[in-house]
Amino acid sequence: MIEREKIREIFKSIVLCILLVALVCLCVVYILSFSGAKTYEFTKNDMEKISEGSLRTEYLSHWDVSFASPAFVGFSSKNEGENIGFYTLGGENAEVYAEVFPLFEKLFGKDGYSEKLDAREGETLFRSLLAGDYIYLSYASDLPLSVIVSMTDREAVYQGMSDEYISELLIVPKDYLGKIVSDEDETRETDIYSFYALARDSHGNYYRYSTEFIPANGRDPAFHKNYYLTYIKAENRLPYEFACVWEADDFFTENGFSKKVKDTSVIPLTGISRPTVFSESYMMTETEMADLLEVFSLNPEKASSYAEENGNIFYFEKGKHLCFQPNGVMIYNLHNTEPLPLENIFPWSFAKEDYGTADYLVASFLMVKALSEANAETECDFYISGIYYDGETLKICFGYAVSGLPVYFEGQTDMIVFEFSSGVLQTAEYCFRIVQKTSETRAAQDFVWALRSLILKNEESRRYFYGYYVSEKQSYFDVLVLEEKQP
Amino acid sequence: MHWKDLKTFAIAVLFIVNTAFAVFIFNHWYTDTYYRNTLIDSSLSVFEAGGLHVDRSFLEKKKEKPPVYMGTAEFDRFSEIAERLNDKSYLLKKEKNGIYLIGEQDTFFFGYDFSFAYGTGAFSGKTSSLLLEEGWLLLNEDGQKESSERIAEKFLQKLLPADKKFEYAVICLAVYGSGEERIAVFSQTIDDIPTEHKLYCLISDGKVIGADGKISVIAPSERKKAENTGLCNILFEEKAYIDSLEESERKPSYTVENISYSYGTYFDENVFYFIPLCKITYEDGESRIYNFISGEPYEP
Repeated sequence: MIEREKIREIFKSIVLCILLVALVCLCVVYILSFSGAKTYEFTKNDMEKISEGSLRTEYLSHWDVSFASPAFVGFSSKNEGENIGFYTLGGENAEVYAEVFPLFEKLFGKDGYSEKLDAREGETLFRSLLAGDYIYLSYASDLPLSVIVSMTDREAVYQGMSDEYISELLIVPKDYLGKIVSDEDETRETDIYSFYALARDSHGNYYRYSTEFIPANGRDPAFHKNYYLTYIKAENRLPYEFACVWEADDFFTENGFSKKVKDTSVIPLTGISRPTVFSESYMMTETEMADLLEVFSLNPEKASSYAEENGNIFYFEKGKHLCFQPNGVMIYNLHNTEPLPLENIFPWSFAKEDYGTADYLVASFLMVKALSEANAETECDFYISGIYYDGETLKICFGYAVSGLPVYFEGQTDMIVFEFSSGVLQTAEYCFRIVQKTSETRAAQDFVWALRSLILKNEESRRYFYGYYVSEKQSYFDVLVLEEKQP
Repeated sequence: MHWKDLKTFAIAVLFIVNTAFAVFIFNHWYTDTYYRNTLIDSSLSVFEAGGLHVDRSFLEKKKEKPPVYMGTAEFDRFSEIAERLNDKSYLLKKEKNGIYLIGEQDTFFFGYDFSFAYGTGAFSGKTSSLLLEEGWLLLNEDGQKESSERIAEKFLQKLLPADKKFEYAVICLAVYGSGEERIAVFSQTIDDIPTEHKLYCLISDGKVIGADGKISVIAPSERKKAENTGLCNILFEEKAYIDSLEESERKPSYTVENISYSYGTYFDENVFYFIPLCKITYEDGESRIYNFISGEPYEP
């Protein structure tokens, strides 16, 4: 009896142990399988953020580097002969500009760092570098460095607006690193160098951009003469010299050439030819007006209109209004009653609280494209002719370019002007002109001869360059030597 | 209470607790893995009332819980492809929208958005556009079908990273023929699940002479456990879509023939994500794809 009792107790103890172990096991199963079940590593909120980010990648399809391409790119290799340059405004000779993108990435990316130079030190250094090997880039106006960099580097698109504005950039060799065998031609050896850049704006501020990156092999971005050799036989190359190192004759010397001509004015050593341009401004037709109304989200069918005595025609709909002036100028929101939200400009659904430079730039690119489509007769490229930011309002101006050269309309380049702030387009102004290349190509005005007469009449320092000068007096225009007063 | 009785009492309590806990865990597991019958019944009746016919078996299946894959699509990672091709004769050129590998005989383009193109001296057009032209027939049984499939697969395989953690592969969807030329259509897969990346390879004289489409040549770096909206909610979204159609656009009935899962790519700056998608296909071939995480329609 006692034995049976003992066995029963032992059995109960074993069952108790099993039940306790089972309880522990169930707890472990619960903890491992279910307590963390709702702690997802990727949630619906993450998906929402990505959807927004995915929409931003839509930007890239409208992110056109040609809008911020330089006006001129020059290569110098002193041992190889004359300097060669290319007019690149509005995306002309885009492949030439693209050559420097890998260098930009190293200078302005995570490996790069910058310092502002004293004006005198900067000027001396800049002048001395112009006498050696370099890659030179000159932009149409002072552009924020962030805009220049973000237009060339996909990964830098979303950075904010930088305080550094630059108009000219020199990329020069630093330390000799040895010889490499060219990827294209294995028999060709090239000396490669590390590099740095010196930039300045039109107000005489100088910046030096250096990089910690040191090229290690032939595929790495480096300074070498292959950039020069690639284009030495290009048909559209322009042999040139900068004014500061050009051997001016006695006439120029006696008439103050060095003081009156900006050091980096490009003196072409051969003539250039460009197509003759036809241009005229006129009051838009009703069809063209209707197309422009649609660009600004006004319904041509529903918008009301009235004409003022001075010839201005207003179209308005729910506070939004467009003014068409007799001289071909169109102004959106002249009376500042109804700005245009950015989501009305973007072809994709997109709204957020904080808008940045990238949003405004893309909106302006979309608008420029839409406006140029409304002016179908015009055949020209567009470029950013100015960017101004006061911390709140971003003003972006666009000019016309033909065959890599700027088109000046009675001395003005800004043909399309947008003002953005707080996620809306505050105002827009569009100078509606026809600009067409004709089939006739003519030699441009002789640069040196034109310069002789120009420096006689000018006293201050000026930059001299080739461009089209369009006026109301005539309809056909050839390339002339133009001048720009220096600040 | 005597020690012996206390033991008996403890056994009884533990038995009840264990049983209750086990039932609780099972219920938890079941609802996490399957839809409850009551929910299935009520959902099906709502779908039926809206003209959407869904077979019960779709909802009775185990709930899908596909993970999300992510990685970075930076230039340096794209340039790895040059090393993978193991051919130094290709010149690597970086452009705004991707990289080019330029060889003497052929050129590859790999877009940052995973777009892809391959051209040779023999063909530099768009293979996918060729299919829009008349004269291409879907091959079912053809001596060259299998060999074309093998040639294209071998060509595509060498572009894929040899990453065993998250394995990419390509599966042939169809082969079309016109004269001596073949076009093989492939889909890229990740861990055996198809993606929405379609690849078109033009084969002539036993080699690929042109290709285009979408392909990821960069392996993801992470796999993440993802919250999802669930098949039932997707079907409710689909019903809402059908309800929103105008009377003239609406068909008399919508019978779901198949529900399948795949991956679509999303980009956020330089990070790419493979997000699970759910495709609803009707008897008449009409189909719609939904983002399985957000439940929103997917637009490739």
